[in-house]
Amino acid sequence: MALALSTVIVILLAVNWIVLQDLVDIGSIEPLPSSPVAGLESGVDRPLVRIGVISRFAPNVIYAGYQPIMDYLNRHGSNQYELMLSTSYQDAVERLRAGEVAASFLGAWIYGHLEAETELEPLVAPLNAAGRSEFHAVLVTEAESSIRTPADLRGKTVALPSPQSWSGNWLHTVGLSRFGLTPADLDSVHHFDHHQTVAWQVLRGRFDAGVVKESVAASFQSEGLRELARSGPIPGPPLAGSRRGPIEVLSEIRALLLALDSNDPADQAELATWSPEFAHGFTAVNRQLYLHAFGAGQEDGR
Amino acid sequence: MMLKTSAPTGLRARILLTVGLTATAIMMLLSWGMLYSWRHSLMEQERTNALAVSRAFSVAVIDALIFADQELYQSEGFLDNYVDMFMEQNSRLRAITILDPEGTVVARSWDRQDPPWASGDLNTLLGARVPWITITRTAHGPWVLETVLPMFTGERRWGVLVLAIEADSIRDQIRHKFIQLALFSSSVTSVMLLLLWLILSRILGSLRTLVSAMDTLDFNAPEIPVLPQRQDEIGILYQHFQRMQQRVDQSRRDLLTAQHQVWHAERLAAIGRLASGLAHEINNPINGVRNCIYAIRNDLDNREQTTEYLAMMDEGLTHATGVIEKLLGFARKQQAEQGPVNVNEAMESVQRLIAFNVERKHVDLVTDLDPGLPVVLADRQLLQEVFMNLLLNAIDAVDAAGTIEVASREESGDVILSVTDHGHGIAPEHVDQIFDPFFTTKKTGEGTGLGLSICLSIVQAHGGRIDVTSTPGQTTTFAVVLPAAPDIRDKEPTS
Repeated sequence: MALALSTVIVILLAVNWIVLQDLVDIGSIEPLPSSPVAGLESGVDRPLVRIGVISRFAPNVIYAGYQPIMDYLNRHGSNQYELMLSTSYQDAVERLRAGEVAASFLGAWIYGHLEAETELEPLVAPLNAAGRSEFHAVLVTEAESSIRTPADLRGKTVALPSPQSWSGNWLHTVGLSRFGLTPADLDSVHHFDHHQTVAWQVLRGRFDAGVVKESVAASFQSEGLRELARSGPIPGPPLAGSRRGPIEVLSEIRALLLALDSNDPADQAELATWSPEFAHGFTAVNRQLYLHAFGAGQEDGR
Repeated sequence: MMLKTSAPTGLRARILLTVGLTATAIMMLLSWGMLYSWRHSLMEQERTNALAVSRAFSVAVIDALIFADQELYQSEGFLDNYVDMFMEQNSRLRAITILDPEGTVVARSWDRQDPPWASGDLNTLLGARVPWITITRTAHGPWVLETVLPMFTGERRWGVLVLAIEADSIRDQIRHKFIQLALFSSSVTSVMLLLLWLILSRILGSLRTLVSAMDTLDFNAPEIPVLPQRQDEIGILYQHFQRMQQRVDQSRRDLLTAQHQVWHAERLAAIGRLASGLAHEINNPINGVRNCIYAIRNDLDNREQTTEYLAMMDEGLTHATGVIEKLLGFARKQQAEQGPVNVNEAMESVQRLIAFNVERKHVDLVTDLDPGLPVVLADRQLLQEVFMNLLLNAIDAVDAAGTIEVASREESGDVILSVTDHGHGIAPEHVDQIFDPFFTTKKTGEGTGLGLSICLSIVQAHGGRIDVTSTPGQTTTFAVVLPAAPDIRDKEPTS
């Protein structure tokens, strides 16, 4: 009896020891994939084409928003497209002028003001949800702010994006007079490099109000931004190329982007991964549109 | 008989072993199930956490790689600072390696020549499209959880981030939890077994009380001992036992009554068997008295004759009275009473009683009694009845002028009294039946078939036995074997 009992105890201990060893053998849980995913290097031998972007957002945000466009062009075009960021709005224009980039996503305001001297040709501009290529600058404040109307801006601090953007210029050039205010009525105005920076400054209470492009205002609405007013419609920010640039490349870019149809389910799937600013596809634009919008005295009425 | 409590094969030990092993097995299975389930959750959590840490770190890394790629900043040493700061803030991190899309290490936390990743070769790492995690034991001993995070923006590949996080603490957690559960299971099982042991002790204690009551049960005691009152199943068992005790006691009393009736009847039957001899023995002096009366009546004046005949008549009547007194003494139903009995004397008393039967059949009764025979503790009356039966049977068995031998001896602490008749013996097929009640080979009306059965029951009641040996056509010996009473050997036997 005692022998049998001892045997049982030994067996129990042995089984528990085996179980413990199996439990702590955590290395067997996650086997490695047997082979890597192929196809990542396609296109490496194709001509490299760089596309510039004005510095309206932080670099990682620009990549998140614009890289899907490059991916689309790489999959369907004959060149290898890469983004090239710029340190400022002016830098983006300079790179385009210098031929470092074949085309560049510019702001509507800077294109309208520099077009004549740089001979830049707008290729396409993004469509909004209404199917029109236009956008607005939006005056925003924090949702719980005491500012209820634009007139409440008197004595308040205001954050603005680049002075070379429409959102950075609208308030001074058009907005304040529309609201019965003058720049002197504001406590202070400060320009930041990126639209998101403006939004965060207002949300964190460092500024009483700010102006951002409407796509940014929409994306930060859930974070607590409240719209106070918006500008009149402005032509969408163009993807512009130099008139001295590679015609075939620019044609390919233009054709591929215009081929996107936001009503086509296949293209909808493609556009769904892009920045909301580009989620409705593109349309062809011409320089007269921007000249008309930003010609001398044109913006005063917006 | 008592219930043993320490024997490993006892009821309590067997129940404890069975329940203990079963409970242990169940607790072990449950514990293992819980442990494997918990380990699965733990590993999922570790993987999720590791991946979250990798992703969080990759945001800064991607930014730095973008800056480097776009030449927005002087990025030399930028990533190395990130790596150092991140290593300092995460004590579980063992190594960080950042590879560019070409497989060049652009930043790392380790100094050795060999890369610390154990997940796969460089091509496998660079080809990864989705993050994967592995846990391995490194060549120098410790276990690491390694996350391989390919860094993408859209389809733009920035490289691969490899984080090695120590995994020995995971194994320690599992080991610790195993010990905790083992201790818990052991404690639960022990408490359960202790409770079971207490319950069994209580139940077995009650059973021991019952067994003790059964062991010490004495129907001759004036009252039946009362067991404790209980309201449970044991109490019901006690009640049933006491009812059975009462029924057995009543049955025993009924049986004793019936036995005494049977014995009395058999005694009367034996007297009947004696009657013919007794009649002869009584008739002889009576006839003598009649003859004397007749002679006296015919010669009333013969005073001398009358005196002589009166003396003869007195002698004859005295003899007849003695015979009747002996018969009455035998037939009288006496209260059973045990005491030291000299077997020889009891046998001689019986011999005197049946002397008439012996003489009438001219049987040669040879007696060889051991004078140094020890006494036995017995009811003398019952023993005489046994001897009477055996002698009468022997007389019936022998032919006229046959021989009967009566002998006594002591052997191995037993007193043996044997009666051997040189008659016709007993048929072998009847030897095993002769003690059965109502078995007889005599003609109807000549025997009840109860004599030997009663003899055997009487002898057995005295702790003895009756051995029978028979040679058909020659002899039959009935040997009454009774245990001697050494401690009362010297006491005065009852008469």
